[in-house]
Amino acid sequence: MINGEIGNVIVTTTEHSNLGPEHWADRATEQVISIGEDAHPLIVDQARAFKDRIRHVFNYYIKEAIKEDRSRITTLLRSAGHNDLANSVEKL
Amino acid sequence: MEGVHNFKNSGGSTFQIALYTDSSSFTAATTAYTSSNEITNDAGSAYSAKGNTLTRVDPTTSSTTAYTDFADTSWSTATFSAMGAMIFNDSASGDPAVVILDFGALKTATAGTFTIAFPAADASNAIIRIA
Repeated sequence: MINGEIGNVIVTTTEHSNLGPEHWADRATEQVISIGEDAHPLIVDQARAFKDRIRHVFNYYIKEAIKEDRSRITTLLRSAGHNDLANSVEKL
Repeated sequence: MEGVHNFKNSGGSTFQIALYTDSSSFTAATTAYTSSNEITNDAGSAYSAKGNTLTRVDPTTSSTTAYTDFADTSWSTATFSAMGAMIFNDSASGDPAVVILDFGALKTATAGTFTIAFPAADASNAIIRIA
């Protein structure tokens, strides 16, 4: 007999704000590392510590990527003569 | 019996995820995409008919379970509400449905982000599993 099953999705929404780098770092980490339910407790502890470290790494580089992108937008706005907009983006 | 859906990363079908209002009432008779009760934007233009195109993740197996996954999907600068979703095959004739998802409550984004995170891709949790 063949059985088909469907998993549960998680819906996250925001109001007048966006999901920050921490959210995306969490999601990326969950995609990369999963810890088996039946793993030995010592392995679970090590895996959790590693997962936490990876989460921090993702968080850091996501923020760096955001800074780079904002810098690119600022440069484009300045070169187009929109200094006020460029200053606003720079302050984000 | 005929194979319709190809979930493979390379050369697979195009799968869309469309969002639906709390007025939708899917049954076993719902076998394809429908625009009936599909959500619309309360402001802005973040959502378009047929929703987002999903990024496929290659199917794999663990023991006697085969499963596949999709990358998380989101709508930015979104102002709308949705109660559920349908994943359907946009490549196949008639846009056949793959999965209907019930969010369990009306989810609302207001000038923000609406994101759908798929479960861990393993034999116990993946979004689509066949054993």
